[in-house]
Amino acid sequence: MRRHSLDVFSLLSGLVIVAFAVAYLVGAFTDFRLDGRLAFPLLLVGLGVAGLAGALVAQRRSDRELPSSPEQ
Amino acid sequence: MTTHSDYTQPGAPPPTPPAYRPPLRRSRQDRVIAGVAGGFARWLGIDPVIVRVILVVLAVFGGSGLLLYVIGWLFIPDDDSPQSEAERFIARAQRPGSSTRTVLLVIAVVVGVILFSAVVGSAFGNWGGFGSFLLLIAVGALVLYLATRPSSAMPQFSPVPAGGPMPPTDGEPSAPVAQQPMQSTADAGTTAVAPPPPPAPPTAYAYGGSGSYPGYTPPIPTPMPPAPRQPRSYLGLATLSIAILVTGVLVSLDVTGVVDLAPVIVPGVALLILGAGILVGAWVGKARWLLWFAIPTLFVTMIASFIPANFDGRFDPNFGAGVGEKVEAPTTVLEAREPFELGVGQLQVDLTDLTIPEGVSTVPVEATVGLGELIVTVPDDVRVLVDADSQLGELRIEGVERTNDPSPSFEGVLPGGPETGPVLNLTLHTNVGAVEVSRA
Repeated sequence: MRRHSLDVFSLLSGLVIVAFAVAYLVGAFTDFRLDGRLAFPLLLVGLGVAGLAGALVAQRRSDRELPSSPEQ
Repeated sequence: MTTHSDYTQPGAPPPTPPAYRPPLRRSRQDRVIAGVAGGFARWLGIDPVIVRVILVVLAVFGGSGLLLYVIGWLFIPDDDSPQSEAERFIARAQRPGSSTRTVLLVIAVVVGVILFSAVVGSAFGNWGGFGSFLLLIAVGALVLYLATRPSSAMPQFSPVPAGGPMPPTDGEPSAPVAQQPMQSTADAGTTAVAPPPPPAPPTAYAYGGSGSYPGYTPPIPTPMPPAPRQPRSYLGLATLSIAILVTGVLVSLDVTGVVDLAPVIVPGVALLILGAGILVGAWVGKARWLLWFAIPTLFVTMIASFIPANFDGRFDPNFGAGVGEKVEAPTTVLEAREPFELGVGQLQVDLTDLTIPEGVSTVPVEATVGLGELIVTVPDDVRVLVDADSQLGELRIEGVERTNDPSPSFEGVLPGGPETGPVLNLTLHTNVGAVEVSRA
């Protein structure tokens, strides 16, 4: 597999999913319990932030790359 | 291979279907997964969305849509390939030392583990149903996602050159430019490039396009170099396979009694693996699509987290103890000593009219509901000790704060009574449901 430039969306959404998994797995062994009513909105917030950040970074990258290319 | 001129017949009545039926091939341009629906729709001369909706409905109800799709994928050759996948696969596997055999082996092991755990699970517990439920959700989510994803290749099938439905703006078609590369690659291989159709009166087409506009000359397709091939990433597939494999192994170990896992562990671990795969995709490979598996898995994890670890999976409705609504209002200590039971439904135990004779210090009251509600009302002027629990559900005890615990229990004094005097000793239990204690 080839290394590519950092995919911000994958990074953040992956972190969100891992965080949920850890929260539930920790809850299975301890008294910690994620409020079921909060899980869904938290997921939406996490994915929304990931999507927004990914879009902004991609936009900045494409803005940086495009202006020079038509001249060449 | 058909050119778009087959469909474009300027001046002709729009609804006429193409006189020539293209061969049944998986579509290269109109493709969401493998072009089965797109190719089939082209062959039938209908909108691919119709085929996709039917496939998804069939996939969700019984799964036959999925099977049909896989069969189509395997046995219908691609637009630009003489062989179907099945033919190619067999040819490849026959070569000595091919990696295809290894892949086959891995697939066989994964399927074997899943089947094993399903069979063992359905024989010995409720895990089989749970596992297949998980799988069904994941597959359904994928099919739904793939079928509803907006396809950039969609305009390919429109009878007018791409961008036809767009109102033209002085020979500067901004939208068609974006779609031009695909248009041209489709036409590049054909010998005769369709000449630009002459201006035609506005017409309606079966595929939603509003037709050409007077005075609008669609841009002539210019051959573009084919887009550089992106290296394919198998990170997502590998991660998904690991998650499925681990799920199967964990469930197998649990149902055979090797380990004792809380219900949340299995989907939780699968979720962790999927999340890790997506995370790795941030640096190498591509695994974003795993999210469509991770989100349903998260919901399953959420539901599983409500099932307490000690819950044995047997709801034991105990129908013999009665079904429905039952009201008990004992007036004497002797009546109150009789344990109250209900299998399924609502059991009300009204102790307000209970008279406690002089000299009696403790009156034990026991009540059990298998599945449902147990509602106990006690008099204002009596000390009450409560020992209540619900294996799966909630406790509503007046003056006691409720918890998030899916398997709550409470032992203590019911607030609001006198400090001295005889004691009502309540022992209340429900397998699945709620226990409520309040003062009259």
